[in-house]
Amino acid sequence: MTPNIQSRNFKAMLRIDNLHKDYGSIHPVLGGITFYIEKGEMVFLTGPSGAGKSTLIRMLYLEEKPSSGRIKLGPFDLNNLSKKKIPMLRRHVGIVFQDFRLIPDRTAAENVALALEVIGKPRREIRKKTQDILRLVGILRKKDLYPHQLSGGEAQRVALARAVVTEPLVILADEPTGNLDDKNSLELFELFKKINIGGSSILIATHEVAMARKYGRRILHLENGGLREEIV
Amino acid sequence: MRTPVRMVIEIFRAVRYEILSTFGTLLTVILAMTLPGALWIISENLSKAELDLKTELTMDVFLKEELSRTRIDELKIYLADIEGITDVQYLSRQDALFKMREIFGLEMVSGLDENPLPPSFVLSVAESLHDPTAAEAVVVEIGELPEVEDVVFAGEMLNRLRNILEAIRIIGLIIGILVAFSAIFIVANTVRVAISDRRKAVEIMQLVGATRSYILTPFVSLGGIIGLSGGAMASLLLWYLTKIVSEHIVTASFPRIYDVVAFILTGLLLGMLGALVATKKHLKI
Repeated sequence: MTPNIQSRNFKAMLRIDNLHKDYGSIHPVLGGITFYIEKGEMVFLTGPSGAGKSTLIRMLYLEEKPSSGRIKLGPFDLNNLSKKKIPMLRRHVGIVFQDFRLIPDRTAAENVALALEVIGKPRREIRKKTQDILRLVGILRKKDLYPHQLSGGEAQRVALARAVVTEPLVILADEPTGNLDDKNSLELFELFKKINIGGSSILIATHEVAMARKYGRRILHLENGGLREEIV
Repeated sequence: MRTPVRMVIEIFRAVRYEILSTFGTLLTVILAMTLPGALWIISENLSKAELDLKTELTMDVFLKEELSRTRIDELKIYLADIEGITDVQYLSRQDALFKMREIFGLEMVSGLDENPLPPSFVLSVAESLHDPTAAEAVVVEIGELPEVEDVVFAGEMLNRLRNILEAIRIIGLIIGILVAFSAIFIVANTVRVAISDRRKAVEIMQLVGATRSYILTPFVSLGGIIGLSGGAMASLLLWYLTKIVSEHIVTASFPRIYDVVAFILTGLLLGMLGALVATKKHLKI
């Protein structure tokens, strides 16, 4: 049952209304999509390559601006957020990319600690939280290794740890298993599930529809600029 | 916020692939700051010399022969009445010889068969007579007295010194401005390379919510450190050069400590400005 998003009692963590994005061509990338994610919900965003999944994700942390429509993420109204406030938004959004985006000359632990460092957490807390989260994603043993010394699966766990360590309002994952084999993909999805059980809201953009269906969560399918919800 | 140790690590990371070129930049900044620094020290010393000359400036009125006591007193009154003359001293031939002995030593005068020095009046002059035109009128007036052989005034020398000082100040200012611009440019270029090496790290920092100041601080600090070290090392070099000149050529003094601190801080400022120029142009955040 889809909640009525206009209802006063409904609290969406992420709410998107009539979102449009075009780059000047006849066919818009996103042609007025509307959806929400509840607090503590894990949702899959599927669709073929070029459907606009990454564009949508990028708009959620204001790497790109929508052509029109509204985005509200927790207390942030993204349409009225000044450039100066973008770092504040990003501190409340954990992002996982297909290509991991780890700083090459920082160890796994330092990459994770960075997210806490930029929000000004004290050293002791940074050390403890970093250790805890690396333990949670099962990579504590490799905390002192540099990204080039890690396998793809391990690097993605570090990236996930960095996204989660600040306890963000929502975790956005853009094709997180795109560079991983089946075994690592499965393990990563299991980690997302574990983190979601802890109460985090998660939006995962993936082309692995079968995998998404396996988890029995809401699936939003993006195609030809439109969005349809798949009832699982 | 980063701890100071983290900051140092971050700065090191920013330049670790460019250590040689960073040292090259530092060396260039040192040399660039040394040139206007040297002109500044020369100008300071000449200003001091000008001041000394000004306070000791006298007009020497040489007489044809020794005068009677009465005539000396008459002339003393006459000379003291001239506008701009503040003090009149009579120097007999004997007094002049004593003075010469004081200045050049006994050996210099002991070989003389007779005293060759003429009697003279030594006139102290006011600031108004430092102007060569005003002094010229007085020199002519005194020179027309029948007892006077010659009038020698060092005002022309003071004037020449002032012209040299003025020229050095203008050249120093022009060189200083040029050097400031080149220092900014050189540091900006080094910081640009550092930014380019750290582009990926900067992007990731932005994605995890790092503020503009968090990202810029290591780069601006890098520029500041280059400028500060450049200024400090240039000061050290100038101090050593002043010491050598003082020991072997002419007595020269090094500027006061707070002037040196200001000079070093100028280096810091130029370095930071250079870094800000680079971040403004090459770090779109």
